[in-house]
Amino acid sequence: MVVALNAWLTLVVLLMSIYTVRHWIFTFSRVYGKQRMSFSDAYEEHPPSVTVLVPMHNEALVAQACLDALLASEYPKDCLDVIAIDDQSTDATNEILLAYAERHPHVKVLTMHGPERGKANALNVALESVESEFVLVFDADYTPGRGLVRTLINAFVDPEIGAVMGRVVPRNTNRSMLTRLLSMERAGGYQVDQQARYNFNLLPQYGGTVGGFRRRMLAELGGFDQHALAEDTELTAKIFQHGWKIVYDNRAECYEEVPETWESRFKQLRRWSRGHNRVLWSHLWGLVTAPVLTLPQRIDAGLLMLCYAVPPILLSGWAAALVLFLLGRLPYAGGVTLAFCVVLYNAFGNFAPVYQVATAEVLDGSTTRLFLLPYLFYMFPFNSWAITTGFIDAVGDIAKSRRGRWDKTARVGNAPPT
Amino acid sequence: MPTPEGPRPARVTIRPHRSYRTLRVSRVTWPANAVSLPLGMLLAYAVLLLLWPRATAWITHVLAQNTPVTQSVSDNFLRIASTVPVPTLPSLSVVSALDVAGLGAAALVVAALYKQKNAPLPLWIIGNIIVLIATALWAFLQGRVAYDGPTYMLLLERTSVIMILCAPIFAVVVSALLPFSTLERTAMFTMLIAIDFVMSILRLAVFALLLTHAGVVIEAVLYLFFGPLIDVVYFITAYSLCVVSLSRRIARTESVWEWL
Repeated sequence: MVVALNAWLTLVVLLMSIYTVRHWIFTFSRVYGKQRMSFSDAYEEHPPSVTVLVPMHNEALVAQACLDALLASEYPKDCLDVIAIDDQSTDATNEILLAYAERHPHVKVLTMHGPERGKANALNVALESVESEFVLVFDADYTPGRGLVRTLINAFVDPEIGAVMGRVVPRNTNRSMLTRLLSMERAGGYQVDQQARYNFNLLPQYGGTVGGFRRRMLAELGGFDQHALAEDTELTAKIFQHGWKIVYDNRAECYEEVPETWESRFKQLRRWSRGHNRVLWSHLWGLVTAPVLTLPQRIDAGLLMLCYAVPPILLSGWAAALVLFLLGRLPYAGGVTLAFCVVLYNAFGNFAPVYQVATAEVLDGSTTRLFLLPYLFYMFPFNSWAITTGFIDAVGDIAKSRRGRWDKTARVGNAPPT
Repeated sequence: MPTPEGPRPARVTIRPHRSYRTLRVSRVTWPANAVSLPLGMLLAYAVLLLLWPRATAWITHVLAQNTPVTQSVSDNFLRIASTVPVPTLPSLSVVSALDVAGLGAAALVVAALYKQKNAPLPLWIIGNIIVLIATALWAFLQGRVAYDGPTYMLLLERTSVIMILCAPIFAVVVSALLPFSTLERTAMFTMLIAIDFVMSILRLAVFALLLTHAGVVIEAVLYLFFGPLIDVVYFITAYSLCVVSLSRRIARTESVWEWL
């Protein structure tokens, strides 16, 4: 038993070490390496027709800000359609959307009825009425800048590009400790992680918002899995397996409202974990054996898919350490110390090690906020448990062939920056 | 439009957008990184050799004079001498172990009913309670726990020594990613070692006192939640101070930002 527990602890440490090295290399590349840019400088005199989809369910607090931001876009109005999808809202969302549609001819409202609910299903239904080749998706709590549509669409000048992803920047950062910490996490995840993956030609992820795709490609891939809770990760997996590419555009910043309560964040993280781990189950093997991917891409695919399985693995390592302690066989000199160090490297923040978060904040020009770095420790038990519960949900879903329930993230509706 | 004879236009500073900023590497950065690790570890080892024996002996003496912790044990781990305070553990009874397990279970029920439990602090407390219950049940079933007072304190002391020796490794790993000045780098190494050293000595005393009063059932909780885990928080605290200094310096001298 002791041998088995030590072996398991060693494996956990090894896995953590792999992630540590991976993120260290990413951070190094982002700070000192050559940055791969998107297609920001490309300019087409006749911009293509674009449809923006905004799925909404009870988004009365934020719908207006999102639509106002889209209507202020510099993109030629005759080439831009906005479809606001009311996914069975029970608040004033539908009235708000209809009022916008009345005033603005290029805003259309799709009101969903029927038994199915959820973002993936809403997008599939909306796509049936889309004629543009290029589709962008924004969640309702996002406020895109005036030039964002054009910046994102530029990526499609390359015919191999199937999807594009921009950077998510919280706009309610200064509301609480939670929002500040989430803002730091986001910085680490986008400013460093996504950009580095793009630098190395690995697998930048399509994040389901502040991004878009080719309609033809999505049709080829069979659309979104309508029961997926992480339709973005599922699409990412399918895109790469079929030889398409994803561009990450770090310059395409869009502002979002991050959760302001722990309960809301817990539900969000749990849903992400549940959805992501279901995609892990269905696509891991396909990705790591995809002949169209290079070896580094396959390795990155495996690590990307596993990232929401790491916290439960980590907690199992912790449990092994507890049993070893009770048996009086805890290896004080190396194993456990290293385990704890590595645990912390990887569990600070949302899979963004502390040095990655710090580097992203330095690149962003932050100063005083960096005093909060130790407080990321505060997130460690929270993130670990939220993701583990999502993992358990996913295992239950797979075992019982049941569908996941879509837990909506509560909105606050702070005014966007002027 | 200013004319050639008119006032000169104000100096224009063009700052690259943060999206693709990179940092300029000074010529001394890489050699500094290369020598930091052996120098840092030497510094940590020297501090341990010189100060650890005195500090542990002092804290043991202070405890013996002022608290019920009067025993001690000597160690010579990695040739670093130490005198470690040893708690006199209250005898473990079946009743007390069950009491702890029962109270822990009750606390878990209360926590489960608490609406705001999905927040960092409640989850941290719940984690502590679970480990506490596991230890109490183990003690109840086995009639003892694996670590007696001296063994436990030596485990803690040796772990602390390793963590202090590991501090420079942490510092090198994180400092290689940003262009710290020599002063900032030195400050980081010094702070990491100093803070961890002081807190480790304090921890020896606090753990010895807590164990004297609460007994073996809290051994695992203390070690797993407030042992090496907390050392890394000290490291990151020191690191964050240096990163703030670096970031402020960079903000003042935008010339260090690199164009692509």
